[in-house]
Amino acid sequence: MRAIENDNGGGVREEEVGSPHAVEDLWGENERLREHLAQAESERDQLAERLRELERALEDNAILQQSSSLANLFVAGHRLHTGVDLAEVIEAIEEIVATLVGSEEMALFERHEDEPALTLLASVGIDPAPLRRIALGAGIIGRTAQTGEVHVAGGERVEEPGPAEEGLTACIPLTLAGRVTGAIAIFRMLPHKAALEPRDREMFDLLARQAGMALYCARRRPAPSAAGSGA
Amino acid sequence: MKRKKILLVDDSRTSLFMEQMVLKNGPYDFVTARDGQEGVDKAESERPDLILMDVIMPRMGGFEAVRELRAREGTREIPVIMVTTRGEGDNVENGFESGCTDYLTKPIDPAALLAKVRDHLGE
Repeated sequence: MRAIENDNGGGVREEEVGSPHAVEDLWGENERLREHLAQAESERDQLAERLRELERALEDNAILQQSSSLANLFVAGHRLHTGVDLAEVIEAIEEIVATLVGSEEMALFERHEDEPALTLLASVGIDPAPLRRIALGAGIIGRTAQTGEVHVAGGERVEEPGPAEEGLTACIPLTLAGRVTGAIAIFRMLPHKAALEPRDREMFDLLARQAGMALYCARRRPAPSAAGSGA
Repeated sequence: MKRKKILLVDDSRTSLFMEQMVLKNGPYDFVTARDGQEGVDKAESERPDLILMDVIMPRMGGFEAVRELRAREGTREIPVIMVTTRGEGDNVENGFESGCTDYLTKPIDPAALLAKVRDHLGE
């Protein structure tokens, strides 16, 4: 007769195997193990279901984030290209920065052809005086216009801000046919917006590509009254 | 599902467009106003189920508009969600003191906007 070990390592002594009590004990142990196994399987199934729920939630969240970002980009693109004149395009840019990015301190610059400087076109929430004209290459704003690369504070490149650039969060070059035609400088963010998000970078890219085009088109569009009087 | 009417009050066309775009797939009809006074007038005439109200607007601001809405018999019960760039504690406090029902800060998060609208319309 051989000894039988149970799964818990608690052995049933050899001399007990075969006795009525030992058989009863073994049946009892077997029943407990079955219950234990069933419970473990149930817990495993619950965990698997929870994991699937989490995966679905992560997918939903990623989709939600993506659709939110797309909604923002769509609204911005629509607003930029439905302005009928320069004032409306400027208003659209200011609203996009306030409503979709989250800053009420910004400056919008233009660069006229062959001019070695940016000229201030509009500003919100900042002192415009020191920003009226910025030479290409001067400070972060001037360097952004020179290089054509988006600047974001805290990014990989550490740049020394110019005297009027305190609180500058981002500077976006406005490009048209590969040439920098202006820039948007975004200063402090709204107090409840802790940091820029990936969707903001996407918005900066859109502004860089389309705001310059919108301003260019608005400049060349005849004013509604002038168009009407020509008839 | 019965369609609900939402009054959007904001001087920013970007905000108005954004709000309508986020909510347009729901069972909602929209009425818009560009300042607080126009918002109060439209709330009186249109009797919306919900109002989204900006704070800083020409002619009449959002807080004053909400106080006006709460003082009028026909509009006192309409839920008002303030949608604003002013998310600091004092402004939130002022909003609730003026009688607003809830608060949402700009930049507008589409998911949060949709959730709050559904919540206040009992959906």
